[in-house]
Amino acid sequence: MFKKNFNAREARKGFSMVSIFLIYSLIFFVYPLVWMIILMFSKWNFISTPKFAGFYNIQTVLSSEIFWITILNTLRFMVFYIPIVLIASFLFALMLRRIKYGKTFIALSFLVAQVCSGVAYSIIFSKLLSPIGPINIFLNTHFHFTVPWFTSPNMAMFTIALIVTWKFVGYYGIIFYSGMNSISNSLYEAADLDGASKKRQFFGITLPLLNAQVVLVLVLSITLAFGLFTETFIITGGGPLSSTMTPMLVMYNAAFQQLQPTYAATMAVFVALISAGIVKVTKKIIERDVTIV
Amino acid sequence: MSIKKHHIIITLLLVLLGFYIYSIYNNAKQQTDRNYLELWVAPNANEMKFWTTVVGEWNSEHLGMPIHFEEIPQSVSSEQAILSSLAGKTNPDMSSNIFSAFGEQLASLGAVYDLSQFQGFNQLVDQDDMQSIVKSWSVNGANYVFPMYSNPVLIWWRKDLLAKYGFSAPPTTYSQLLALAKVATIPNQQYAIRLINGNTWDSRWYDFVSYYYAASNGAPYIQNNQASFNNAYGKTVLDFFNTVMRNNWMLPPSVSNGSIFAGNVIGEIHGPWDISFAQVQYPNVYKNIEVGPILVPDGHTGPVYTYADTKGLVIFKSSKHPQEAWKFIQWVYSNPQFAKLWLEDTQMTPARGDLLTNPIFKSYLAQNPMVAQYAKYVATAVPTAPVLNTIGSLQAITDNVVQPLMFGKVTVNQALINGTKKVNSAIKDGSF
Repeated sequence: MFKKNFNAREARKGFSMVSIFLIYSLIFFVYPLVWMIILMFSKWNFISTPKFAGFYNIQTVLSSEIFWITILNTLRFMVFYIPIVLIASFLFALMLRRIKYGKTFIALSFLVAQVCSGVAYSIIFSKLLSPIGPINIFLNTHFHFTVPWFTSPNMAMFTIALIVTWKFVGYYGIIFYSGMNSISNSLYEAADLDGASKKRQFFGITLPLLNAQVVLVLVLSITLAFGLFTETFIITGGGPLSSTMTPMLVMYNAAFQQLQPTYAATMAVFVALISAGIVKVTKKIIERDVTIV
Repeated sequence: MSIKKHHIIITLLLVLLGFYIYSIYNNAKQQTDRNYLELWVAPNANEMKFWTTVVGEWNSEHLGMPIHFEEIPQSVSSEQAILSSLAGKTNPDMSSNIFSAFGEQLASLGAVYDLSQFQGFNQLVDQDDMQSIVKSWSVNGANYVFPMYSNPVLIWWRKDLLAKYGFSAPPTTYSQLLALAKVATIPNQQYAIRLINGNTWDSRWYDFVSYYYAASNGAPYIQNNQASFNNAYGKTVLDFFNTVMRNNWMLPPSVSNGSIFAGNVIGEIHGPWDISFAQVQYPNVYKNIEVGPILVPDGHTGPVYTYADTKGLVIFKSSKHPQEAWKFIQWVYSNPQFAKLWLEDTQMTPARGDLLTNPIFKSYLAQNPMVAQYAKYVATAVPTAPVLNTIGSLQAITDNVVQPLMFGKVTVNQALINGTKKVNSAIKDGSF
């Protein structure tokens, strides 16, 4: 009897402790998710009563040219962004390990980019990289050429990838740095004794043992790519020639400017599915169960 | 007794339901209990100053139901804030800062009144000499937005730079601009004109639409829900654009607006809302600014038309006191002193046809020649085309006319054909 009462009391206590989080999730996750799925099959314009529309929204999204343009643009962004940010973050982590003094200051300096307002740095970069901005003036004066950072449809997404790399290199670098610190020095000492070069040590010890961190950074990068909004909204507006048009930009325009929230919701579901699919495939290919024996 | 999973779920659902019912009850109660009218106004200091005076007078003299006014809540845009408020049923009785096409969108949602149905509408329009302006805002005979201001857009020119290249007056025709561009362009440093204003849909108001109105004497670029710019005027405009683009004579569109102050461009489109900014931020450059009309084809006759950035007031259908709200609007518009006050506080031109003739504005316009220059064009400034899918149609012009032409992907004729097709489909399907 006592045990039964104790268990019930414990259960109530446990429930009361997690209830705040559960209510939070219910309001800010479950409710919007359910509503989004309802909208996917509805006709609704914000203030009317939703009416069942069958597969109309799904058909509209999948047959719209702009949806596929944004998906291709996102893939293009990932092709630029992921290798650049991975290499830059690795180099940053390696640099941090070699620095003897001022390590915290340097790490924090790089992390400042992470907490910067997206709007603020987007405006700064748009001025810096403008066709008549200081960087192009410098290049023109000293090397007699300019770079069409945002004016060329082939270049604009690459430039956006560089800007986003600047923002995240410190954050991802710290993730790699913490991973590198957790690798025992004895492994490198043993490799030294075996005569392994630094390159061999990196590819044979460091990289495999950082698998969890690499997977984490890749997952973060993929989800970031599908959520890209501020930089393209502020700097390029999706142009030139729709080369930087992202799913979020289209969803924003559809929902809040063209009063088509059902289109936006349907597109959001597809974008989430594609994003989750790419994450799944990436994990399947990259993720390894790394154990030191 | 142990707590089972379904008990937890039921409890959580009940909590959620409780919140939902309470919010509905609270909203309904607030709407019913309110014995005042709520007015939202544009979130900027100049307009707030104007409404503080006007609403203060209305309330202090007890002329009708008291008005509470506040800024449109902070959001990415006023339109988004208003839509969110409609969805949440927290919208006010009236709102200013509504552009004509958004008014039409709101009407399509059944959210706003047709103001022409209110008693005294026509008298008010006649009294303020607003007939032609109201007509251009009208959609199938209905007027959902009462025009507050109609800002023509015009070209600001740097007099000092023009003089440097031997131009005593700003260019007004295509050939004059081309002559200037030939001598004044220094690649990556200085350009004759900012012809294309950006990548976003609304940028088209400040290039293609303005130039089309100027070339065609204000002809609509969309008529009866069909694109109507594939004609001689559209071709003339795009031929001119194409010449400037192929010769790299225009400031790249990605450069932010305001390059005229740094001397990177000699001519740039601006509205009157930039006057006070330029006066305060760039007083020395401001002295060298001369305002000119939108460029027209050689041999153009008659007045020069332009695009009008226009905003006005709406009354929401959810208002419990629409007649009281209309009474307030009538009171504001029937007093020309308020139009003068608006001009003084905001430097934006009130949407009335008597700006140049009514003595009440004369002294102000005499003291502010730049504003006076804008006032001259109020009568020939045309708002955006009255279509529901304004954004989609302008995005279609961006994606199929302006940008492909800029990158040399299409000829002028192809741009006109593709643009017409895509604008029509945007209007028909509401697509992007």
